[in-house]
Amino acid sequence: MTAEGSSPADLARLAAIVEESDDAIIAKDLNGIVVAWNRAAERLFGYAATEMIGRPITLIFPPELVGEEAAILAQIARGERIDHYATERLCKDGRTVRVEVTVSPLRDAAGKVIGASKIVRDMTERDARERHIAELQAELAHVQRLNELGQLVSALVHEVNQPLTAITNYTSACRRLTAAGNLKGVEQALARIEDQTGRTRDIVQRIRNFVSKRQPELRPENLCEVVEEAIALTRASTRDGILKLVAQVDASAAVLIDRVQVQQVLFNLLRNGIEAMQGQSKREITVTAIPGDGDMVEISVADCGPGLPEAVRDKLFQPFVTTKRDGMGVGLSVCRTIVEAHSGQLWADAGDTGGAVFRFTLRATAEASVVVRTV
Amino acid sequence: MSFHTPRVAIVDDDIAVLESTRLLLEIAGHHVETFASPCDFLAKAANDAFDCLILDQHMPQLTGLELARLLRGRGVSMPIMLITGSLTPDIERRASDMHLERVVEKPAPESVLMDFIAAAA
Repeated sequence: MTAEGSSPADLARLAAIVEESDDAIIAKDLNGIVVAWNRAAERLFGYAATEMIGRPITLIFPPELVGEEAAILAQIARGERIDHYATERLCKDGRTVRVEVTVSPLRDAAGKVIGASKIVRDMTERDARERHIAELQAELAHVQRLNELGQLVSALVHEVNQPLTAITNYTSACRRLTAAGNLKGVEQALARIEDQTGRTRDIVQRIRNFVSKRQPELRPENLCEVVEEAIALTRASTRDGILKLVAQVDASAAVLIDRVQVQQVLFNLLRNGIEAMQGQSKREITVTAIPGDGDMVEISVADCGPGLPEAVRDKLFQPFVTTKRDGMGVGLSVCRTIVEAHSGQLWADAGDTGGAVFRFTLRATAEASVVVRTV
Repeated sequence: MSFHTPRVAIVDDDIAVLESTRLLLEIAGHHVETFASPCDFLAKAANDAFDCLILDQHMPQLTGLELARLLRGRGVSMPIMLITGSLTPDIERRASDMHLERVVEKPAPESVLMDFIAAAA
């Protein structure tokens, strides 16, 4: 590198800066022959300056990228600069490194382009950091899903275990009855096995309906049925004999919804209510539907727990806000997303008798028999 | 081991589980009494008239472990088998603190039930 018109002290300082730079700094002539190679370049690529100076820069190009050099040189010859160009280079030991390159033309005192300086930044570390962040994000999303699904799954595993236990017992009984030649007994036990497999099938079907990931499909649905099913599902997921879940919904109310998604919302709100009432002697949740503004129906889920402080109420629907010790705080934000996708709203209120009330709106269908339309 | 017919008590809130266990154990020659809840058991059979007790963990009102603690507190020393849908370290620890003879995950295989009763009789 030359810098005509500079004092020897300036040049020395410049050389020191180049030498001490953390980024590899390389200079080459217009034929692509290396003319300068700093210490960082030595560290990054494994070639000493004495090995590289006087040799073609393409030595550090992976074979499939050698073509890049002609394009770079052509651009430099036109006096243009190449900024932050992400590519790969080859080290002496055969490793490939991900780098970001900035190439600027080098000019002589007359301003004529005589070569190029390249600043090469090792991206390996940044890539690793970005990959690590992406991994953490994926893991977090995974934990959230597990947390939400985990509760449901463990409840349903318990449900499936009951008929499975009965089937196991009846099968063992059949074997003993067969050995004893008691065919009538075998037949009775087989009938019981059939009952229990039916019970298992129902549970599996319920899981399938609940978790199936399909596109939201808005259809006219009987709201009363939808609520009753969500209540049945919630009841199945708890072992609470005292808990009362009450539906006060007009049997003819019809709404335009994705049934599975709205049941997910109800399931979530009911589970939240149950958790809020833990340890209380009175445990009751009432689901009510009343006509709302315009053609909307307003559904409320009211528990008799301790209620929600106003300060908490406003933040409730943000992801990762939770009042539960073990919660991840994603349930309600998912609920709100679903309700809003139905052109409705979801909010929290103070209940008349002190508990918390969650209200959301759904679009009513003009007639229960209305043809499917999309909103 | 004595030669009388073992008397087995089962407490489970699931009727199908209760009845299927009763059928299996009766065919195997045991005398079985079933109770649909811990309260039912406490009301009718709290005195130590059984050779062993097979107990479900997940029940409303009172869990299997809670019933076991109550019984042990009253000096009932018969062998108890706790059956649970999910065998957590916590359940295992509490069961061992109470000296429960056996803790198994649902569904308990026939051999486990029979071995437990044979050892208790």
